[in-house]
Amino acid sequence: MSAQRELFGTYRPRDNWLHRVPVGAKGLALLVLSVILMLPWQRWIPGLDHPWPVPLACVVLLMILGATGGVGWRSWWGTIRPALLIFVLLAGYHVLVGTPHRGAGVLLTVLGAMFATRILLETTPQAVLLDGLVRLLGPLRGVGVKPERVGLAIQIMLRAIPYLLGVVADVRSAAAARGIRMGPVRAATPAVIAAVAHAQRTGEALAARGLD
Amino acid sequence: MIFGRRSRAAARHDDDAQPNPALGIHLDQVDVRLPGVDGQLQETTILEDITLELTQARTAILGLNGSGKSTVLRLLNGLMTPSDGSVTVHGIDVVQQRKAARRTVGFVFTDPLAQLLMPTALEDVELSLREVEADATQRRELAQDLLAAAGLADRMHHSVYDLSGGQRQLAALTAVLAVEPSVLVLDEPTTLLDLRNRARLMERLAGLPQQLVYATHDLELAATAQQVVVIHDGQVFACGGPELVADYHQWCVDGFPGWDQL
Repeated sequence: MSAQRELFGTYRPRDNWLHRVPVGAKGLALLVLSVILMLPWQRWIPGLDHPWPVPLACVVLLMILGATGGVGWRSWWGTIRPALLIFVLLAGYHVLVGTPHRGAGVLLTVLGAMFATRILLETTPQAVLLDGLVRLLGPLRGVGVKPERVGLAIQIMLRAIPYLLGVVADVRSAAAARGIRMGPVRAATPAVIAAVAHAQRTGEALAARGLD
Repeated sequence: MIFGRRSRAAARHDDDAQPNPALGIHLDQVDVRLPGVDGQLQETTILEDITLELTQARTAILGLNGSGKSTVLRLLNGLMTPSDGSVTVHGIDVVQQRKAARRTVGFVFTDPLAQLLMPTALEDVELSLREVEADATQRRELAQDLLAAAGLADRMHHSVYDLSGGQRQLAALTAVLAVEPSVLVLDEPTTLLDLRNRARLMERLAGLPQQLVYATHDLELAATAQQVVVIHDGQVFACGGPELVADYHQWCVDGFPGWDQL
């Protein structure tokens, strides 16, 4: 599995202020940023004609913040690269239907959310994230929710995303090695089978460690 | 279990069970059958009438591909449930007391990447320690100590994808051993390793206090066991001491006497 195909990256231990910020504060900042990214500011701010300036400002701000915490160009490119095809399709669609400003707004909103997630995951160990999630969901114990289980499920889902992106690339590479050209649609069937096998293996690994 | 339907009383019974290593591992007339699909295919017998008593510190299970040796291992911590018969590990019934069995039996898969659930070795060991250490800071320190002792001090923060095969296997082994199981089951542990990492793993395994049961094609590793079991075509073909390894090699070349000649 290609290690470099990591959409959100993994924790990189460094000693800087961004790494030292408590997970609760980072989570809150991510939540606030997500709300800012999703709100239709152009409807409320006079003179703001398009939906892209606010997300653009967020993306720039995130890149500056990231740079102070050691999250650089390689990380941003690592985030964009696996989703590049979707970005191109989205941009192409909006240009075709004559809504390029809205398209730019959508792309920058998605990019902002991805960059913020990247910063969170690169500067926070997943075990700390898991503890944060468990604490956050603690009040829901009363209604039968098991925070530890939810936290673990989310962690495993995060681990699975880069794996599943890599599966498609690996299937296409295997086909190319045999001289077969395989588009994304034809690669889907073996990729789905590989994904199911991965889910099965993960389930077995959880069971074997008494975590099922 | 997340979606389990077992009663609280059964769960308490599970939690209370303590392993007694003196009792060894017993498989008594175990059959494993897989049902056919929608009545279109016949039921498949994977294991038939397996009766074994594993009491030695090291047991090697040998067999050709598809013989059923991995299924025998899976029975030991409840990853596979017998269709008939019973499996007890250190006095714990693997079917009736599954949670205690999982706590008692650590399982190391052939491919450590399938086993490492978290992005880094450190986080994966911390995940294992969740069951035994509630304090996050102490959990982290303990995980760091365990990985350092395994020779992974400078690799514990790296993505598991960036570790070599040997380092992954050591990380997976550390994560399993972190909760101090009394039995360690390994499914072809040296298959994906180069000679240097294989030697390191064998050295690590030799120093462990746990009872070890491993399936392997590695005859040198098999010869280090005090007990050797040969599984052929889903049945126990032979059971004995390490001298059986040379016989097994001969059977692989000439055919299994009274079996392949039929």
